[in-house]
Amino acid sequence: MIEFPHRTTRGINGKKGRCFDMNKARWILFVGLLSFVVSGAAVSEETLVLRAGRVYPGDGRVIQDGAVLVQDGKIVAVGADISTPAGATEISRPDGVITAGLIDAGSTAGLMREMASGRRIDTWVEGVREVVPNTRISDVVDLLHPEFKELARNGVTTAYLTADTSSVIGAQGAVVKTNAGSERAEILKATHGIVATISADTFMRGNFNNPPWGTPMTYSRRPTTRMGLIWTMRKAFYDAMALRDGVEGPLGNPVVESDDDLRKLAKILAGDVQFRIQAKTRDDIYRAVRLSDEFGFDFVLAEATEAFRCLDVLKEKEIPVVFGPIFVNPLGYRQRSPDNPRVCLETPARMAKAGVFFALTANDLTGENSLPRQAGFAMRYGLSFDDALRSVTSAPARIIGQSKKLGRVETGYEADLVLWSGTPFQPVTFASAVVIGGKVVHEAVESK
Amino acid sequence: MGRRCYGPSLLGWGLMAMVLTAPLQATERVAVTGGRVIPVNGEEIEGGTVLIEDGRIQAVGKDIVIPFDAKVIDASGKVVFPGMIECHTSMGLDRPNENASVAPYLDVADSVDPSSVGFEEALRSGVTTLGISHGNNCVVGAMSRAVRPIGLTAGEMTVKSDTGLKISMAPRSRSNRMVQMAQLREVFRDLSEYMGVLAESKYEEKLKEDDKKIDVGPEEARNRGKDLVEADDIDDKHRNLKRLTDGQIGATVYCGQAMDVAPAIDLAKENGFSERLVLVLGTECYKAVDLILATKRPVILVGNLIHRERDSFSGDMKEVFVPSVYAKKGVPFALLSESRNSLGEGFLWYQAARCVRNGLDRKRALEAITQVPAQVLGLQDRVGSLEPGKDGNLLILSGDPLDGMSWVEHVMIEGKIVYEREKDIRLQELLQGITRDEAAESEGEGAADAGEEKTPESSPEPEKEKKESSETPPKKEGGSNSDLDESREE
Repeated sequence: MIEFPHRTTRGINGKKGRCFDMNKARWILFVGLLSFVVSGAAVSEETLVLRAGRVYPGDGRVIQDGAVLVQDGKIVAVGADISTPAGATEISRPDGVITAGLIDAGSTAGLMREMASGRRIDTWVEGVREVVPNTRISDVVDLLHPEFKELARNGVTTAYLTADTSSVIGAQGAVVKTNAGSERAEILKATHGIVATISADTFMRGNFNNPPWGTPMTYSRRPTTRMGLIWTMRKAFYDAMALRDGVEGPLGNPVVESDDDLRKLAKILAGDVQFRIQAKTRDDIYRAVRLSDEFGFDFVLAEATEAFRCLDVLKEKEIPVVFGPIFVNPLGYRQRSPDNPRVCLETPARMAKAGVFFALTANDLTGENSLPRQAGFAMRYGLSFDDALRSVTSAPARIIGQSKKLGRVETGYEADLVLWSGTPFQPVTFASAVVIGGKVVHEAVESK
Repeated sequence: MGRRCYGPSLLGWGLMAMVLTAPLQATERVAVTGGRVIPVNGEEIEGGTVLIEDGRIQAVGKDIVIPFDAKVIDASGKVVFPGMIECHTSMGLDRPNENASVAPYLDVADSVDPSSVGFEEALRSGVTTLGISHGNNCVVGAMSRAVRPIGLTAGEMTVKSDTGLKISMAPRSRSNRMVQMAQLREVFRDLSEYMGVLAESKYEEKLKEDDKKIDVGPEEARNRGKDLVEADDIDDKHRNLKRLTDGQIGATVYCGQAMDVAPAIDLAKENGFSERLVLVLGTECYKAVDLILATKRPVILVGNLIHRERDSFSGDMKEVFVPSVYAKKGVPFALLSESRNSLGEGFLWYQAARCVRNGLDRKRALEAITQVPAQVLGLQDRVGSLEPGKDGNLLILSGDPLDGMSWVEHVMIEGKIVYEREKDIRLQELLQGITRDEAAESEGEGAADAGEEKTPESSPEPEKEKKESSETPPKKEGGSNSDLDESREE
């Protein structure tokens, strides 16, 4: 079930092929109830209390000497006067701080494989077609990948796994919990959103299908220019509209593998599926806005390095941004990109000030560039603590469609919590304990 | 356009540097008062004063009488901290590695570019002393030197020359360890051969002067002539090596892996520079920590502080935070910044903060960016802490040095303010994303006439943005719980 969770919720072909079986559902319900009854006696064992000097529920409040009561994976109570029930596990840290588990709204964890030589390679770049909205990241992610462990250790409890940016319209992303209690990640939502790209990544990222003599060309990769990229995207959407509206006639060579791809695109047009566009430079961001005006879809802007140069349009069109990673020198594959966007370290602060809705992401970066460090440096460069916390908890929760369950320390929310050793996002602070779904998945061993 | 705007500040530094080197007529006194003084070598002083006279610290403490003629700098609410020290870097060297594998006759001074952006960046991040070294791709490299990041020439920048000869135990590119070791042995064998021949010829010279005939064999002649050799007789190629074996200078020996450590220590023992050995340790070298401890010498750790190794049997990735290993054993270490590719690792304070995050003592972490690197450079009497007699190198920080929100407000080198954050144009550019050309354009034609520094407030672009943003209503989030896209498919 865990391996193929999408099959449990719907058929491969979406609504038409939905194979909802009432009998099966009854069984599931029955077994579910049975197991609930059986485990009823063990409820108290699942009780956990986290105590800390400060609790930030995520709504701007601070609870001094607060505690969070967790039962059966859910937050039951948050406040200053919570006593520990008998038999409950308690983790207390008077100098600590409790926040909701961090959410990375644009991670690539578990998607790179390491070869025996140590070289890391992409496993999720679809090179055959430029428009592949029917492919799924959840089919390729390695849930046992150590990167998930590292994310959890850094306090990141949920991650949106974004599709690679080398396709014009790429795969569907997935939402995962970074640690399900047994050193492996768990898929929360097998498909969420479709990731498209308006940047040179489409023709410069990855080199497995580039000719050995250098620059990509039509024989190896299409498109090779921004014009070609926009054409491909337009063509895909026009084909989708034609299919939707039953228009017949010569439409030229399709840019997609099958009609199912077009149906997916039609869902974007209908607003049923989130559309995420990665763009770095100002003109690419404007291009994305122009396309959204043209086809009438909403989108989430990803990466958005030059967002500071188009704050007004992002605010006016209410385009949510998944910003990041922050850098002075481009990191990782970005070094090879001809986009070379201008860097403004104050971008997160300025987006907050301008009222642009945004989340921060570390994308493919780890270690000292991981999400808590991104938030820390966003603060160093002017973002307030409340905004920084929001941009790694409730804002990404909303972007990944989980705002009723994740991103806050509030009664009824899932117990994804981090107990920090001190003020969160400070360079001297580490995640002392990480709780996912009510289970303590990481406790720091202090080596003093 | 760009140059025109940056010119004045460079000129300013230049002037400052000239003032520094100019003979001073009267005693110049500066008192930094009211701040939380972290002297590193002792207890923190709340509301303390640092009194500097003629560039040297005169007094540090709470109840210090401030002379009437002292220039008072108010640091209340701020933190006063010694200038940080980056003790092993190739900053400012256009090409840090010489092609010839053995080049002890070189001096990095000839290659240091005083206008390198790196030095400006160093000031901005609170580094007041840098140990400039030849790169690691050598057998025997150039002579290192300690510089301050101000001055128009390498000479002006120099705090101390000849801080050590660079030696690398890790093989040069396209070489291997056998060749590397063979070349190193060759270097010192050649030195002793050269010195022997030189001594012999000196003895013969002396005999000639005394109109005597050669009375002994070559072996004895070499022995007798040894004391006749003067420093000037030794050629460039051998002079620094001879000074090294004589214990006059030290060596900075780079070890890439743990296996390089033992040969490095042996090399130092055999050639008489164990007392002045400074090991630059690659990440994996922590495995040789016991050998390193036995040398009783401070070491330098390269910027990459986490060793990652995949267990070949289990396939598990093992991570070791290297400074913890040295700290546990009690090896004094200096931290280096990692030059790029990271948000924080390029800053020494951040590297120290990482150590605290990983369980190290705060004191040890602070020492690793001040006192230990000072000792490594042989400058322990001049820099690395705030105590009387040392150079007046200090930072006025907006907060604790290990706080991620702290900024370097002022940098003082030898009693002179050489950096002020509010006048740092380039920092504003980086923060605000405006290029100098843009700023100059929007400044208009008449802007560059005056020699005054252009403050970021005067550039209209951010102002425009500020105005726009103030018109927009404040962001409303919190209350609304609606997801952007609860996928309706399900």
